[in-house]
Amino acid sequence: MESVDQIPSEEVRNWLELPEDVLSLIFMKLGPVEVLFRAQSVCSLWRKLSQESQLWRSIDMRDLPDVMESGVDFEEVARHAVDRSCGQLIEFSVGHVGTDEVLKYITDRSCPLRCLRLADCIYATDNGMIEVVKKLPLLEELDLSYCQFSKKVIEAIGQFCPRLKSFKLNRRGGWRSYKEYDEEALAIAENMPELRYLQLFRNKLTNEGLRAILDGCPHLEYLDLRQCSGVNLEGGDLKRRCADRIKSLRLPVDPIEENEFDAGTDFDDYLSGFSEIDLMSDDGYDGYDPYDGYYGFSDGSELSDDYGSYGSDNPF
Amino acid sequence: MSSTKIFLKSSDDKTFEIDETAARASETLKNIIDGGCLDGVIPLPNVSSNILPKVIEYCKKHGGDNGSSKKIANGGVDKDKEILPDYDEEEDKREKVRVDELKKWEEEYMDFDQQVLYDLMLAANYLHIKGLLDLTVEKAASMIRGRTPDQIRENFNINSDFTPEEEEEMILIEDEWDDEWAFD
Repeated sequence: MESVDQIPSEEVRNWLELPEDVLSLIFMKLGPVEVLFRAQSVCSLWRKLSQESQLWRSIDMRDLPDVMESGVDFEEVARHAVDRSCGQLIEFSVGHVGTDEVLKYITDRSCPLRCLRLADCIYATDNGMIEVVKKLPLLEELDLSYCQFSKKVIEAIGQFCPRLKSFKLNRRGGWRSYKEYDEEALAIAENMPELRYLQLFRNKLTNEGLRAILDGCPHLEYLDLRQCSGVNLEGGDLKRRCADRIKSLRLPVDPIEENEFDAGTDFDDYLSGFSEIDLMSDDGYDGYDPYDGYYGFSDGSELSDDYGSYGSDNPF
Repeated sequence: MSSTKIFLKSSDDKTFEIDETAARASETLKNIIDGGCLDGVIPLPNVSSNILPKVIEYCKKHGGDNGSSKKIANGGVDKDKEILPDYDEEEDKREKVRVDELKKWEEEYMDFDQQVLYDLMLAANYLHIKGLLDLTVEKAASMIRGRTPDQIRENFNINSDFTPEEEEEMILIEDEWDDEWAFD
């Protein structure tokens, strides 16, 4: 086996000669804050590249330091990043910076998003979110974990986002704690019939809610019920029904990975089918890769037909 | 398990051997193999003999699948795995060991200097080895993250070519940034 030491490296490489698509991938890894505040100030080539709209098709602003401590106006950063996408934004992830105003700004200026992750958007309100949802007819993946929306938002999603296939509504302990209730589960069952993927970590649903979900979401392939203490699968037929119906089931007692439910974890990247590399590929966004993402679609042709026309069918 | 051997010729005319299953980690090589245009040796005019063994090492480890340990490690979700009712705990443990081993391997594999990183990134891009491209690009990003534009220029040997006016504008932004938010 050849060892690394044998590779001569005395020659200095010129990083300005790096192909643009590779540099773009690096910038995507860096994320909007690093690019806007640092990388684009390095040289004119990097500055020019940082203004390419392609780079801003996916914006992830989850992993930020505390707004109050940093003093940086991250809402302004978010708006700036969205401006650079020139309407090409398809995937947006944000934490507490996601206020009603920011979300409105984004949806007003983008082609309909395919993926929206709002984990920890504690300042966003029901009414604000419902206005946002109305503008997302092509949404396929939505994460509303640790937010404070009521079931009204879930109902609006059912009405305006018919393509939704992946939904996360994870909770932390303490939120309406010790009170089991099925309101959310029932709303999901009634309003999200196309779901393939559902994650309800620490949700307070009971067996009744679970039954409703199994009935209401016939295409469900992945269901995560970890730490849902109100669900009891011992005895009765429910466990068998889950096993028969769901390809991949995480039980309430199943272990969680370290940092798995932290904001900004890569877990999301695993689940959704497109990475930075897919976003930068020549073909553009071609939807969830059935071989790459978790929930592939059985009908490959549907994928290419639906996604191939993306960009030309902007209703706005 | 034995597999058909493929021969790769570097830009400086040196020939290397690789199993077909390993070569399939590269989308480019896979297409050549499947396209039936395989004529003994595949010339790789963009990859030198310095870096090709390193690329082959990666392909050998990942033969067939072109992901990285990250995918398997996170959540261990596998759509083909029947969890109920015969959930195989032993299998799960073995999988975990395999993932940990792969992570450790990746860590050691990725221990090299900036020049190698540059060449490897280009090779991964040219050969369409998604997992390797992802690893190398992430490493490059980690060398930029948290650094000031000055530090980045120094690190990558880049000269600032902004006009004095642009420079001035930029300095203002940087100062503001540095005062307000110190990176880790």
